[in-house]
Amino acid sequence: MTETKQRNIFEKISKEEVEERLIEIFGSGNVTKKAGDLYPYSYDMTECEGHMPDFVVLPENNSQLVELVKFCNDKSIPIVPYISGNNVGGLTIPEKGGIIVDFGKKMNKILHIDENMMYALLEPGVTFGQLQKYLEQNYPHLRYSYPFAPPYAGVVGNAILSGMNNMSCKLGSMGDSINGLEVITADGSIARIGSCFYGKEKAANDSWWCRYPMPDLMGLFINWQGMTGLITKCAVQLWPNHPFKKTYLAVVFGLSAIAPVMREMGKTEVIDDISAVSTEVVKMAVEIPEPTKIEGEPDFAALFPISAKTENLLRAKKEILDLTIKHLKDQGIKVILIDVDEFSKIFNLRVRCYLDLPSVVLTLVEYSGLTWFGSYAPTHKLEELISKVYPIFLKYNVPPFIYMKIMKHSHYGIFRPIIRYKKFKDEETIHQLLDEITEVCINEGCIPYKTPVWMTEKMRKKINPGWLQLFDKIKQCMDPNNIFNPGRWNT
Amino acid sequence: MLSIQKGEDLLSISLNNILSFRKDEEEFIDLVVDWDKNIMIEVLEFYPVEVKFKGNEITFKTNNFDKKIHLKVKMDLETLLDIAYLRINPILAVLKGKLKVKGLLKIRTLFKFMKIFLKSMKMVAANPNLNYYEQDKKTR
Repeated sequence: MTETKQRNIFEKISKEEVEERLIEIFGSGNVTKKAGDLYPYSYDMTECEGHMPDFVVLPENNSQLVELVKFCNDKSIPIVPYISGNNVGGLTIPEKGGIIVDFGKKMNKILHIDENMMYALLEPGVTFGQLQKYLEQNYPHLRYSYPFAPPYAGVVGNAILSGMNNMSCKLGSMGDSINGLEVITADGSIARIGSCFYGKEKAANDSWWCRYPMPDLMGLFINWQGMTGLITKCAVQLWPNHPFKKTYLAVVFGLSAIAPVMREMGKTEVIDDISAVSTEVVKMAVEIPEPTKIEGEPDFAALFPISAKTENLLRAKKEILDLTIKHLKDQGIKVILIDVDEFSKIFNLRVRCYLDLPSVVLTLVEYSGLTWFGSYAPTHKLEELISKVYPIFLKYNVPPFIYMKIMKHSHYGIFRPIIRYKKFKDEETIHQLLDEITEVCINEGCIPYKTPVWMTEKMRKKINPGWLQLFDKIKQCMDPNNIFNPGRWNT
Repeated sequence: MLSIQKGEDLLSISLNNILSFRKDEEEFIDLVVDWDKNIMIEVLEFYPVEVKFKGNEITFKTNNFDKKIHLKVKMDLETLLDIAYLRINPILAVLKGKLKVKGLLKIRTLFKFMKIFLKSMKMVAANPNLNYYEQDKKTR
């Protein structure tokens, strides 16, 4: 793992002077340097090494943030954006100390819902639970899509880091569904990107409807883990909330047989989302402490939610699913398709935590540690990935928790081995296990997302030099004093 | 007090879920306690599970089965769901060959099994609650 080196961030100004300035900007009630307040921001559930910030500030508006960025840029003080700290990649651990900007507490407003053009304009602190409740109460005909994550996780953080949700089979990465961004860059200027770019001072609420056709400057901020600027507004697309919905469950026998099932079902173009989990994950949800698979059990289970405007259309979609399953069976694949509402009652209702998103899967976080190799994956390599990664888990005597998705009708996939563990007790073993999985998956072409620093270090060794030079040039250009989340991607 | 083993394989987890639904019901306790029978349930494509009723305990086995099995039932997952959700009558399922029973002549055992297992399964299926966080009927 990468060792982080503490840089002296108070070379140009004393810590006391920094505190004075922060209080001037945010007010004394919104600035803290107390160890007890800072500690929760210093670590997450992963193997990533913790590091204390020097200050935490709670911003309320853009003018405060502009002042902060100008000040930090002048004095070379790191700024780390934070929403709920719920990521699994050490993304908001202040590697080099500095100031945590906690958007979750006060910059968490839903600024506008546009019914006609179906988007939501959000401040960075808005959570999935908050948006879901707001839409259900005020715009029940519209929906956002929700991840396999707790309701208190941030929408904007997930979107700008290319998370995936329960409509990803239709839509792909959530990064693709961003209409517009407002960002504060290193010199303190505010830029609006997307169709909201007209207007000198402010953009009209109804102008955040598209990101094209101008040069797509959003790429300077999406997936950069907060290394190029502070995002202060984000417009995300919404979709019609169809009245007819149904989720089907495919039970698949044979370790890698799930791969063609997912691919073929994805290509039907009628499914909102495809997520598959190994049997051990199913058992984990029903509180089996260290789940193992017995002979005769299926290897994977996959969920296929479908939705439609009319009952007839829903039936037609089901017909397509049945035909695809029949075709797969004809090829010798052992797969059973059932109604998940019916099955979950008979099996155990707790498995619905995978359906009713966003949700907290309590058993997933019952240990002190949780980590993963979360990656975008070539779907034609899923068989190899499963057959290579599954035995690695067994070698380390760790339950093989594998979670996969098909994105954008099978154009690409997600391969995500997940490990829960006891921090301090099992940390070293789990590091080794994750390291081994990472090697295998990167060699098969997987691209990790929401990536911890030790993983980007591995990736850098495999990425073409031209890409790295361009990446480093852009970072240098956008953030010449390396104040934005320094250390990420080994900057 | 009835004790039902918490299974660790998929079918035993289901059986625990189904049989636990009525575990506080007097009628169910009367049916189950001291029944002392071994019932083999096999869901096609999966694997057989022995459900062992002994004293006030119900336990599940996926291997090392008892030599004495009093009743064997075999069906696929779709048929199991069809019976639970009343799309097919168990007797019709037997006649259509979808539900296979070995020990049909042991009428009393068969009927008791139907009262214990099939009735409980139908009750679980008929329960309108779909919220896992509202599983406990007392606190719902």
